[in-house]
Amino acid sequence: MAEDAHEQSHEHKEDGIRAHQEGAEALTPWVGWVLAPAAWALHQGIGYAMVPWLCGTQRVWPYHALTAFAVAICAIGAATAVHALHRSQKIRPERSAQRMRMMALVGLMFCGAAFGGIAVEYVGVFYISVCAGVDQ
Amino acid sequence: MTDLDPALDLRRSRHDPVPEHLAELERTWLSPPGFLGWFTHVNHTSIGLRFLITSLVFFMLAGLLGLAMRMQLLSPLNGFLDPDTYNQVMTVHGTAMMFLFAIPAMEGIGIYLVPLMVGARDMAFPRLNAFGYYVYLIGGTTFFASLFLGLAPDAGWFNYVPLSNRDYSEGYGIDVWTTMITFIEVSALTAAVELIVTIFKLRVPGMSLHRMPIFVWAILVMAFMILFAMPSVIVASAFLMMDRLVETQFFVAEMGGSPLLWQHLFWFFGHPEVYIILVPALGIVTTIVVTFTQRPVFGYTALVLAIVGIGMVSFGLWVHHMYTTGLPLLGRSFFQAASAMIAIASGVQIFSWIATLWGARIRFATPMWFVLGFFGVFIAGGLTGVMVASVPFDRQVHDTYFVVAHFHYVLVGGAVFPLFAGLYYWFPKATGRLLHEGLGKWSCAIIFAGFNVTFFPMHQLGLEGMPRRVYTYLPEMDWTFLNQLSSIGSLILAAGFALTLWNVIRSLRHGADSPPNPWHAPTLDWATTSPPLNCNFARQAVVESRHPVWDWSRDGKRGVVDGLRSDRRETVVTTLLDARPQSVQILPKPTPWPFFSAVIASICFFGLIFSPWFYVAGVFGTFVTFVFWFLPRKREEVV
Repeated sequence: MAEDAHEQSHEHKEDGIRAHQEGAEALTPWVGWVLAPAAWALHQGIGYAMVPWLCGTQRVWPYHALTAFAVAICAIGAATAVHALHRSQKIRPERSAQRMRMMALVGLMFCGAAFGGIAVEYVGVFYISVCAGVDQ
Repeated sequence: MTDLDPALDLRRSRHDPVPEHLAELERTWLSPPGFLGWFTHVNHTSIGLRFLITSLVFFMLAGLLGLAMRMQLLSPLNGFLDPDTYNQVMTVHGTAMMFLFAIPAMEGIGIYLVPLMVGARDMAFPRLNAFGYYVYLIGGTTFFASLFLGLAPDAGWFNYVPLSNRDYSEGYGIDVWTTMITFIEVSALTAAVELIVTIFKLRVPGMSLHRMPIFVWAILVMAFMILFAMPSVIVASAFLMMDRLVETQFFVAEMGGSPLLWQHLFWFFGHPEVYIILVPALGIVTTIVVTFTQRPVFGYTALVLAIVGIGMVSFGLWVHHMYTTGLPLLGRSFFQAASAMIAIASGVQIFSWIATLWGARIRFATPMWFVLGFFGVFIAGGLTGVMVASVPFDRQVHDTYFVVAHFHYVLVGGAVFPLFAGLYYWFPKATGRLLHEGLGKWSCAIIFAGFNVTFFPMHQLGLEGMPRRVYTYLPEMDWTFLNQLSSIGSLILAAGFALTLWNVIRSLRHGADSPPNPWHAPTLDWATTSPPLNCNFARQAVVESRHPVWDWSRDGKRGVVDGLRSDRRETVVTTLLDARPQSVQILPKPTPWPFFSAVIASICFFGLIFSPWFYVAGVFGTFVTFVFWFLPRKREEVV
């Protein structure tokens, strides 16, 4: 009886681990979808809010750091999407694989677009003074 | 929701015979007839049509106000409208077009079509659906009626402070705007929530995310945008309401508040609003292009990316409405870059459609003509959009008629042309009758010509410096000819819309009977009768591609779900990603309680204009109606 109970408990644990792994795998193709807009919005929102402060301190490096951080988030999203693309080759049935490929591909392109967005917004700091138009 | 019924079965049926229990199924899903029964309807076809018809009525009323403005501007120093009335007319025109027509129309078309396109029997929360409609109907009617009761707002659809503060706007007009807009947006939020849940959980088996029609993707993105955008304007309106009613100081600069905060909050909603209207229209256009070329859309994945990308980037553009408010130059440059960037996503779509049309044998029926009109008008509006995204150019044309021309090209081109295309395309689905093709094509041509004669001269008027939101101009400014041209164009435009209205009224009685799938469309909305059954589908389908109806007509057989009960309202629930069958949802029967809840909530909101105590009364009143709405009942009684 005790052995049966132990075996059952072991099976439940394995089922739980499998379900957890499947859940994590199901989330993988979404990572690019979430991180790309998050990185871009973070860069734009915080960058916009910090301009008067940059002017007050006469330092630009926090903005460079923010950009590097946002690009890193994009890179993580892109890497996860590429990983999901590779994983999709092993998934069966084919319908699930197609779905995962599509989601991962959109996630990857999304990260690329977000990187482009961050880059074009970042360029301005090399041409425009952080104090231009700031009430001092 | 119940666990998956063991009897639930996914079968491949050669002829999909009408199930023996169809009569019982139809009785179960029947909406009660009669006047009193009207207040109990919860079926999505009924609520979706009501949203659409009500929004089109507001469109006509707001259009008449637009005509009144054009008549006022027909000649310099004209006395057709006095300045105060002009301000009220302008404010109600803009507010009604944005809040009472454009968003509800797109939601209505989504509510009507999404369950049909994903093969479900109804929306996920039918009673919430009905509640949202009554909130919209009562709120919208109250708002519009304010014009005739001398209570109309007059600070523009953007309602800027400090103009809308108590110091500069006495009376009840601004209070009507703040309370009713907050209230109506509750309706938008309810629709968004149920659209998202319906799309995620009620798709038929086999309709995994990569097989969803582009229209459904577009509605999904629109719903998420509403969820993120609307709270901003609701918060802003609530702050202003409190500033005016209980003397808080959120927007009063002298007391440490910030008038610019209003602009930030308003435009954080206001700019995505444009895309909330545009995105479903892109779905309509794609649907029509696919059907009338009889080929799959080119670049499905890229189109999904573009739609989601537009939804995302639209939240990063709001500051381009505030270039002249004295913000830091570097900060403005971020938004200039983002504003230009959204043209890339829009361009991807245009090229996808061109590639789909290229070399195809296109069927030039009326919906396709409206789509071609959309291409012309929307691309022109997009080009001027890139121009006003640029800080130096925008500072030159800010608050001039150039901007009026730009946003009418975007909004009418981006929303009204596709909406009319959709009207001609889905009219047979909703009524079982075809609209008259000849009248439709004439209407399209007249609308296209009238629109361009009305709004194209405004570009030049703006470049010559004519300010917007002003009730008249001086003769020596030399703006008379272009204004006259514009006013004549507005009459032509109105005639074009009137022709479609006549076509609808005429075809409802005398239109030719429509076959079940008159356009040979590939999506599930055409896999049932026209108009749809009470239960939408005799049997829910199982799909195996993006174009199930084309598959079935080619193979001569279709997959169906079997095992659902016919004596209560049931629909299949599937997994979010792959749409595997998961369980069965039991949907609620018709009830008047959403209507009563909406009436009580309306009284509460409207009363807030006069006393904050209505808030307390409203909370208790709506609580009582919610108790009856959600009163638990035995499972057998759910039907």
